[in-house]
Amino acid sequence: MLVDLFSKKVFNLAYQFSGSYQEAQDLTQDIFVKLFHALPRYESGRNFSAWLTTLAKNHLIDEYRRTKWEKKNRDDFDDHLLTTASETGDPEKNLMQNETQRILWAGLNRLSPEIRLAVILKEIQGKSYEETAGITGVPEGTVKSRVNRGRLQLARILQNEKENADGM
Amino acid sequence: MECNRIEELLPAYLDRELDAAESAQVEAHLRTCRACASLSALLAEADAALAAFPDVEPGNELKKRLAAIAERKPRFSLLAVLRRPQLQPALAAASLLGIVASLYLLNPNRREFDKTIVRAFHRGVGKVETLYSRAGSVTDTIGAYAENFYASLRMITPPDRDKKL
Repeated sequence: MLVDLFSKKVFNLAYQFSGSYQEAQDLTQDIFVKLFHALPRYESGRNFSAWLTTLAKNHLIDEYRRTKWEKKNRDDFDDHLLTTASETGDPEKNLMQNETQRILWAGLNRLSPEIRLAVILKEIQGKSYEETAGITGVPEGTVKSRVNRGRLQLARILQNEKENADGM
Repeated sequence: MECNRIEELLPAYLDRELDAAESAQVEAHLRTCRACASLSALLAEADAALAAFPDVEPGNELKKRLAAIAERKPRFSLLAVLRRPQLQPALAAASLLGIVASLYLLNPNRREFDKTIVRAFHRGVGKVETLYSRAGSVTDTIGAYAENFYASLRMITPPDRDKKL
């Protein structure tokens, strides 16, 4: 039941954060092991989804610090994401958006783990600042600052990549 | 405004979170600065692309592994029991009691310690007795005073009134 309801959500968070499909599978498994151990401590009445996301976030950050993923490369965007990317009716627009997403996907690795997580939760997963603050355990103002810094960093990365492509 | 300040404001500007005056300043700057206008367009493009990031299916193999975790019989974990919030006050009291008991039981001069406790106990009992006897004498004194006062009152009171009393 829990697996059916939450495996996709946890897996996508792990995948977006780590950038590696294989790593995300292992991380999801670890998070579910922790979840089943932590279930007796879950206080009924609390938002379960937010509680689980906080548990997942803690594991991702701990593992990041332990293994230093920033030295590794992320999977290519085309490997798993391109096949499921949403498509509009305009093929040229789709192509442009896919290219932008490919650059941003790689660019996520250049953000610090805290900023990356804030951007993933707020901008990719569409959570509110309040929800993101609850999950990350920092004040809403800090979340806003992290998300905005991350957005600007990604826009700069996009700019550099496009300038490099034009220069070729 | 300078470009650095505009760059800081751009995310809030695109989210329509600036007040009217700041928003007008940013708009005016973007009309005249190509670099900031370009960055603003890229930021909007990045925002739209991030929001449209696709979700990926975890894969059946992983789902099977996760289902197997859920089906495992929960092992009894003493640590999990001890970490229950309801038990915390009792555990804190037990720990304190344990510390006091170990200080007593592991004390190398335990006999001397016992004697000190017995001496202190007897001293305490002695003090209580003294206080009790003093309290008794105070009661006696108050009783004597009350008796004298009553006798004096009877002497002052006229005889007919005394009869009524």
